[in-house]
Amino acid sequence: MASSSRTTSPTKRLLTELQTYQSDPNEALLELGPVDDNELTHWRAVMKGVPGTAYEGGLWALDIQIPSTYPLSPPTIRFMTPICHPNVDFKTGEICLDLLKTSWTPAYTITTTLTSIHQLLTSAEPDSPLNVDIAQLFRQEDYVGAEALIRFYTETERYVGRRR
Amino acid sequence: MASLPPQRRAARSASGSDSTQQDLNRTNSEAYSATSEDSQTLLLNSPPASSSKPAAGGANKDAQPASSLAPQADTEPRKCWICFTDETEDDENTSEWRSPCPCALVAHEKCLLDWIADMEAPTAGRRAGGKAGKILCPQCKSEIRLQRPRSVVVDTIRVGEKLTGALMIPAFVALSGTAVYLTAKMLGTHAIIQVFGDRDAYQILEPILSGQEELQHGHASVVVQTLHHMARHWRLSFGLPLIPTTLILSRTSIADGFLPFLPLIFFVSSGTTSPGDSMREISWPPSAAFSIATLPYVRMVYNAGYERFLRPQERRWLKEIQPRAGTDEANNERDNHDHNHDDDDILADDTDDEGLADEVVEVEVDLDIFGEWNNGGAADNHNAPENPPVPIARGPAAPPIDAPPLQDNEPAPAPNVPQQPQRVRRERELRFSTASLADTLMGALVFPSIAAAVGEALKYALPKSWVTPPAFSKPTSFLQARWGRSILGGCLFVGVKDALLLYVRWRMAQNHRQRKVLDYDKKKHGKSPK
Repeated sequence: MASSSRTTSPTKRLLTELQTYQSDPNEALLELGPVDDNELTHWRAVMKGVPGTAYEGGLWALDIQIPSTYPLSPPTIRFMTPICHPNVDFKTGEICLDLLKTSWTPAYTITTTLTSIHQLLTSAEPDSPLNVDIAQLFRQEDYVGAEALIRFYTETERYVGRRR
Repeated sequence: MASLPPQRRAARSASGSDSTQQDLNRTNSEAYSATSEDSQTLLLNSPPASSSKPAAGGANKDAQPASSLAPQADTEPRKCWICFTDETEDDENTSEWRSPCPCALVAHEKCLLDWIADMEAPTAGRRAGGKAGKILCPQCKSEIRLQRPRSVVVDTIRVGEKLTGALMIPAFVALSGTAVYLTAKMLGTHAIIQVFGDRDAYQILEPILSGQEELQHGHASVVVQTLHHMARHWRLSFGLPLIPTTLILSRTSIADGFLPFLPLIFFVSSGTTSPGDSMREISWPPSAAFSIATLPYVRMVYNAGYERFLRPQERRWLKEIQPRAGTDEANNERDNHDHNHDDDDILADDTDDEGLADEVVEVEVDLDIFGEWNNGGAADNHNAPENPPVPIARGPAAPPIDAPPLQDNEPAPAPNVPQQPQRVRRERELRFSTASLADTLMGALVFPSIAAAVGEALKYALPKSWVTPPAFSKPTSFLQARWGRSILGGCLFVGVKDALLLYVRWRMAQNHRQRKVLDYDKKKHGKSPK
């Protein structure tokens, strides 16, 4: 019984989450869903930039790997599209967010986690940088320079998906 | 991976949890709105929110207090916040519903237990450094409490495991400390046996040895006995490990500041000790304890002397064999050659067959030149003005520069002989800084044995009347006790060793100066192929 719950629970829960998302889309996201219909533990999302910020108009694809222990363990989320952000590795797309590591609880869903990542775009944490260059600009309080750099990358690295 | 720093993280997680709550609320409300019903807690907290819903359900819920566990067939199905399935999907395998906290979150018991087990698992990487212990509801942060069967044995063992874990590092430190202490004590004992010989050593170490017997037929517990033993023989317990420590320290210059004060402790405290104290029983004009206590001063004087008189020489010789001697050296070299030329003229008949003597002369000339140079202090960039002793150092062995050279059959190391008792401190420092710590350690620890060995050798080398104590009275000479010979042997060893090393330096510099590049011998090679 325990083992059956272990194996079925992620699938069942993911299906529920997917239904919830489809009935009530997340306005931070352009799309969200499994990459492949056969594989429910590998999702992909396309996140929209926050209007009124340097990330305005951007589109980023995110890769979501869901572990078999989900929802007890957090999903592994990384940016596929390069994004210029202090807490995101520009090359690997790794995200430095405590929610994805230590403070995960099963109460989060994929959607809410993505919402948190969306909020991270506007509340960067330059003191624990994965992108040292932009973090340095933030630390030196060169907000003009930082914003210019972010806008540049938001434009040049914009995700161009199947829909575009 | 870098993680958020604590204070910012706190802010972040606070805001994050706020947003989480909002999200959760929204999710819940979304989920519930999908089934066109509000959650029961929302209903309880804010009745107007559910006022749009059927009156019958509302009345039903109003009748029910906060005991949300009661089945409510007519309200919206409860939804497990962990597996996200709701009541409608329950089958006979599904576990019971639990609402462990005041807020809206309800869950299957099995899901909760799974989650709690995951939270409590010590291997979970994400829990590392996190708050351990309490399981909190992710939304309202109130503690979720479990009732679990308690077992005294399990609890005891777990407490024991925790304690063991906490004591790990202290225990390790204590263990290694004890190991070092015991090793040092053994080395000290060994040193005493070596230096004093079996009989006197037994006299010194007797308290410890007899203490063992005491332990065996005592009544009190082992701990008390040990403490008692420590209290009675603290001098030995403390002093023995100090022997190798001091030996090692005196090989370096680290402890130069306080080593001279160690004997003071002895001198001050010796007045108060009992007259039967074993260290002082071996009595002859300087007592053993007294002689050993003066050793640091001997060392200090020796080092100071070496520093003053021999170091400049040694340094110069070392410098000479460096690939590029400074310009000063080059000038000296030229000067030197001129003088050598003179000397060689004088010695012309000797040089061919008396190469050794020639070298001696050269060195003496060198000394003179450098002595003058140093006294002049003009161009010399090291140790010049503050080293008037340099000319003294050449002492009786070196003739004035204009004097006819010494007779040619003087032994090669002659210039060093009067300076032998000084110590190779410079050399030691070099060795310490550049190379092996192990060398220093081993040298220091083996030293007592070497001293004892040289002492033993002295016993046979010196006339018998010097080293044999009178049969019926107290020893009349320092050398008649083994410890005396050992001390003398140690000093002798140091002196001879330093002299030898100095000679080697000098010889190397000498050889360096006399190198020649050989011409290619055409004749020889022309013939050899045939």
